Amino acid sequence: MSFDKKILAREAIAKALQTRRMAGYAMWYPVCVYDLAEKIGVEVRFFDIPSMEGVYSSGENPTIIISSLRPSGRQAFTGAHELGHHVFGHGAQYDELVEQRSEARRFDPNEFQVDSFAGALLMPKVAVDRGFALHGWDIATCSPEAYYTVATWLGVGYSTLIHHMQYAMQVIKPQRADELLRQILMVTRSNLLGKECREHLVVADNHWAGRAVDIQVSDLVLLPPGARIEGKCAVICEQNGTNTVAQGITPGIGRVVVDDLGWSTFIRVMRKQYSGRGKYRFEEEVNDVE
Amino acid sequence: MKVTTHDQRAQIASRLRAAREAAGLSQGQVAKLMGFHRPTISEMEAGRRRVSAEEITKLAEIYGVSVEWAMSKQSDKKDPVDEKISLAARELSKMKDTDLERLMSLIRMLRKSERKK
Repeated sequence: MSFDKKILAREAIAKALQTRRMAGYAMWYPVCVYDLAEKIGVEVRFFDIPSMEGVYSSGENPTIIISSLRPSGRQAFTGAHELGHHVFGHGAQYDELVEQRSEARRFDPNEFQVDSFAGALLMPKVAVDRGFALHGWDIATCSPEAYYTVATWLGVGYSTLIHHMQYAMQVIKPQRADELLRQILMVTRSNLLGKECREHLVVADNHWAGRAVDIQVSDLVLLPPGARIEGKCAVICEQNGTNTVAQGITPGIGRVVVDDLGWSTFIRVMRKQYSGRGKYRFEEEVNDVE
Repeated sequence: MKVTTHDQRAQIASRLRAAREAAGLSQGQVAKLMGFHRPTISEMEAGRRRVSAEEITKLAEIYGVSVEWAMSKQSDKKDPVDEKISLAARELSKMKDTDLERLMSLIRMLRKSERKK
């Protein structure tokens, strides 16, 4: 049987936009896919299984299970991919899946379609364009650091955004994509921070809007100058004339405020490689002293 | 008879611990959600304190697991996968057997027939 990839992709984009609309998310803002899933009645769980990216389990309590051992951008894409299986009503009985385990891999239209769905859900064209336009960046000439900034705003990986813009949106040429992908991620982060950076770094400048800054304990956030944190989940670890750097220190929810700019956003911190129900991922630690 | 009750309590205790860990909560966090002192949860999970049906229901809700699973007397591997459940997993072929078994153990414990809140 042959499948028209264009038709599958078109259906996936329509479904992604419909899902966003249904959950009340504007097209020009990023989404937290886990919040969106819970909003439409799908439970999210993180689970520390090394050889799995994610699974969708249907039934009366539809659930998506995501490996807690992957980088956050990849987890978000997997979450959106599994949510795609839910909205398209995909799934097979466990026994059938086990039988298929030994079958040779071939093009799977369902998998292609939910990948397209995930791309459109997390990176709608309007949101991607807006991410660059707000900063005054031209996608043909701007730096890898600019792409990285937009990727962290959208909550996806750097290479995921570039591939999406190359293949799905078709707004950057293969040569440009190759150039951008050649830069090592650690170099990009270090350039943004002005010193070596081995931790995951989120860039939340004063154009950040539409969703909370979600990080894991020990992740860094590059904030506008003069930013302060309300709450105990993150602390300012560096402050100078051009940058403020914050770090997640304990699970919880707080707020980042820049008084001079009248700008603020929520910051949510989860445990490193958190394994558990999505709804408890920012649950504060409780002092266990009896 | 006494032995059976003891075994059943131990089985429930062990399932409650597994469900709590899979939910990503510490004993302290659960105690706070239940309005208990932390040692109460610890005693429940050690099988030293009887857990009422009402408490199991409430804990199952917090953990997002089936009450039926929490109270089941059989070993975890014998629990059937709910036939109403279907799965979509692209890389099942790449999963190690031990990982697959852990995944299926998680799926077996998830809520089935209870109404969602």
